[in-house]
Amino acid sequence: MTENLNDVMRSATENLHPNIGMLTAGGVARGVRKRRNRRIMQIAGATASVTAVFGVVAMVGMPGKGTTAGVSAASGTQGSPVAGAAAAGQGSKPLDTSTEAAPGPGKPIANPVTGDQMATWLQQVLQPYHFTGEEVLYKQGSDGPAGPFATLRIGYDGQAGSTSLAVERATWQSGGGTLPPYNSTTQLPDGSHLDVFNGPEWPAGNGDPSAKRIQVTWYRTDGTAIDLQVLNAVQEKGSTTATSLGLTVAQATKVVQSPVWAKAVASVLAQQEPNKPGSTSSPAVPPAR
Amino acid sequence: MAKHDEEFLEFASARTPHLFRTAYLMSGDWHQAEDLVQETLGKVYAVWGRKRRIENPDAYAQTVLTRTFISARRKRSSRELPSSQLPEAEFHEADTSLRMTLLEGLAALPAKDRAVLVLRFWEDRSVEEVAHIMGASSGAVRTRTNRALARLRGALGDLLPDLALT
Repeated sequence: MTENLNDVMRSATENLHPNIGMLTAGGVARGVRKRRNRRIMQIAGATASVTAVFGVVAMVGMPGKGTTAGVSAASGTQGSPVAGAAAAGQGSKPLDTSTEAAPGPGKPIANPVTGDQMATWLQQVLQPYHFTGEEVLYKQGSDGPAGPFATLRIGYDGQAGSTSLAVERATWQSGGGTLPPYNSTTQLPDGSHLDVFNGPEWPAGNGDPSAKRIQVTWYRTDGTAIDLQVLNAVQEKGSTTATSLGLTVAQATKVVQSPVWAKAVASVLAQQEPNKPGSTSSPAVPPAR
Repeated sequence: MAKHDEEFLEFASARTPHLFRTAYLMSGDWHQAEDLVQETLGKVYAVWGRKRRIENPDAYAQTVLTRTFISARRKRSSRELPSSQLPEAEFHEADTSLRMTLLEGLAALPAKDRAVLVLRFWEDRSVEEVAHIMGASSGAVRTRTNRALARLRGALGDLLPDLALT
């Protein structure tokens, strides 16, 4: 028999063998959601700040008659998402002209892209799939803290889901070892990589079992990544609103590889590369006990 | 796969078994322990790869797990459904009795008492480390440890006669 509490605890738990892969996958899935929620909160906060500043400017600059118009204009990014995207669409170039390559050395610096453009491009690239009731849920331009992205509500088969596309600076690194469940990675002929998650939103089985997710991330050779997430729910962590997903992995792959994102990629590349926080100073991982 | 994701998976694979055992001792429930570990890994992943790197991921994850456990217990205390049976898992018969006895004893304690005992005796953390993790003073940790040990002794009774709660 054991002699102290430490030994008792050790003996009582030494034969517990959790499913490491499942727990890790579940943890990563939750972490991804937390990161996205944090981004959304940052954007919402920034938008509210801009709205407040414009509101104050309008009140100060146009006393008596310009207040309402000023606030209304400033808060336009929050109102009527579809109308906003449609309006932006008037100023954005059609699909076939927006596929110019990202600027290379010696080429002019790319212009920033707006959240409205991102939403419009996402709507354009989804046109072949004939979704109905599209609505822009979230959007951000290349000058935002999280980089350019757009999230759309999509309707299909009388149901609704969502798609979210983001362009960011990221490079693919070999994970080595075994990938978590529902993940796969493919190296393409040009040296780029395609990471795919296709499985339940709660891989560990501790959430809504009907929630599904496809996430395709295309790690390009230029140091950017285009990421598309497809949910059978309109809102992340919300209840499911469709029995199936609106896109297949193949369709989602076509979306991320569409040349329509060239301007967004160029805008990301044109931004100053963030300081690499000690790429060799990864967190020390002491040995497990 | 991005480099920071690769690093995180390496960290998670190495630490998940230990985190799970800690979570299991604290919660006394296999499923809650799984949930707690995933929530902990999710929180760590959410900050992994930021410019300000986590200096000690192990300690950080331990702190996150403990605080998440205490917080969750506060939120869930009114809607938990206690069960007298443990979920099926790959237990070895030899230590099942010991585990059941220990978990029964721990289950009789308040969440913070359980956490302080697990941290002090399973994690081998110092009083100061436990105080930091739990956001309490060293004095409060000492007091709670002594009180929790006394409660555990009372809860176990004769079940573990050789157990020296020191």
